[in-house]
Amino acid sequence: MNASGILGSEPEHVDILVKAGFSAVVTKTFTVEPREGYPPPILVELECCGYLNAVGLANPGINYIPLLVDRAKALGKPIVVSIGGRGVDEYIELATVAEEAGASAIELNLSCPHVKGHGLEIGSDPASVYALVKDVASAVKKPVIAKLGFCDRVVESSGKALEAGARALTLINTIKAMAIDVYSAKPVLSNVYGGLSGPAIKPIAVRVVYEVYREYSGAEIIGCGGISSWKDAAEYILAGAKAVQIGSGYLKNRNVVQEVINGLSKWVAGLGYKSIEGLVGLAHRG
Amino acid sequence: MLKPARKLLTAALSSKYYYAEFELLEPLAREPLPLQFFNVWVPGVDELPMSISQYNGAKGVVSIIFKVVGKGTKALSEHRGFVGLKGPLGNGLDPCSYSKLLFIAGGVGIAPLPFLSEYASLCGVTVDVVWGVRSGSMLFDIRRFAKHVREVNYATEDCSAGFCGTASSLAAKLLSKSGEWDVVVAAGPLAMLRDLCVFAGTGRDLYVSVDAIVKCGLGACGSCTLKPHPKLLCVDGPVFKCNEVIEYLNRQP
Repeated sequence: MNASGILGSEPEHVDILVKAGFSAVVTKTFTVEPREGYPPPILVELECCGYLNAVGLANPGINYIPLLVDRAKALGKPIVVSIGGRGVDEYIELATVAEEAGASAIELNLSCPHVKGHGLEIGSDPASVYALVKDVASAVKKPVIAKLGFCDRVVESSGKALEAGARALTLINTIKAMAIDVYSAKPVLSNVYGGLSGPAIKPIAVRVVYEVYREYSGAEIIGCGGISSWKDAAEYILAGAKAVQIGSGYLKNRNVVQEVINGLSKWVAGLGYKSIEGLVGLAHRG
Repeated sequence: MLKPARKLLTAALSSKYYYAEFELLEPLAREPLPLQFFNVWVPGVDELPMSISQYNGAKGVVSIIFKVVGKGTKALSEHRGFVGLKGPLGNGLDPCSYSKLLFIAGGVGIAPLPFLSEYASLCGVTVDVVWGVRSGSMLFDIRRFAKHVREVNYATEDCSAGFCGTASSLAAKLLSKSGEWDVVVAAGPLAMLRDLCVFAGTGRDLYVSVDAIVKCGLGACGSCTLKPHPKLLCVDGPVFKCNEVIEYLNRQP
């Protein structure tokens, strides 16, 4: 799937993402009210190793959710609606609209690192994660995915999300970071702080996936963070992910999906497996 | 990546248009093509999409021609010191497979013409220009920046200079009379591009360079979606064949 935040706020984006080869589309995080987002600069590529963004959860608001779901249905593709609220009532409102529209699943953004009140404050506290996931998962029948971010207690929060009824986890979100321009002596992003994504965070994210899989065997994990080649995706699978999301990797190379799929097919066959399922979590086993 | 550049000078070219020249402090990641653009970061103020008007790789100099429409462009015109250049962005156009090119500019659509014509001259492509503006005081001598252009036809809507009328009406006259050009490139107001698309499919290639709101410039935020087409200006454009963006153009008032 694409990582949330790569397009995903207009029906036309669904077309673009489906054409790119993603097997399911993940929307931009929707909030109840439309959000303009931050003024530019909102996204920069870092020479070393990824991207830094502070888009500010720009999205057209709750009323747009059915438009995207309808488009995905017309194209015959599953769509995961990402939602972000300032409190449980907003999450439930958004989840209900997503369910009624016919979304395949709902991804709770519990980890946006650069918008106050949306995400990381909830996601960094296991008890808050438990309470929120419990309330949302009981309000809807559709599968609820908890997207968590990098923080001290992410493994514990993962467990709490699963306990509370999350069907799956997306690990991880972007990591709070910044860049300073040395000529003008100013932070580059208009919001100063943003989320780091791309190759720089892959080893961090793979560790989270590995540890959560080890702690909570049977957990359904979607790995996310710095995948730009089939080998990156393979690492996540061996760590315990059953599915992967690609964000920065797609910005850098819009052919990435086909390349990853081709590479994984050869890898699975080369190791003598009939299907990729046998390789999930293999790094944990003797 | 934001490449550092230092502003060398700003000049008013006419009552409406400005020129700014920048010295690259680091080389660009790749050589630009005509009709590509930069997002220019004015530190602490804004990041603005600007057509590349001139590029000299050997000297490490880039220039833009622009109009001041708001806070960001005003700050760009007044800014001294360092800027950040993101790009080159967009698809651009390589004119070298053609032999005679007609460039139709409306207003600030003239901005990419100098780079296009210099680039074209290196591979032997003849470039003629039609440039239309609202009033004669907005004009400046485009040959100052585009030394290799063959013919320049000015048009003013207030009839104060050159042809009396719009760029598209002058272009329509020229295109109906002459089968001279094998490619037409148009840049300017979206309504002008829409009108010129009537000439698509008349035995010559026709490209339009469109405008939209550009924020990230990297294909992530979707601000530049050319609804109802599943196209992003910053990665799929700004240069398109008419049929790729005609519904977007038709939606313009």
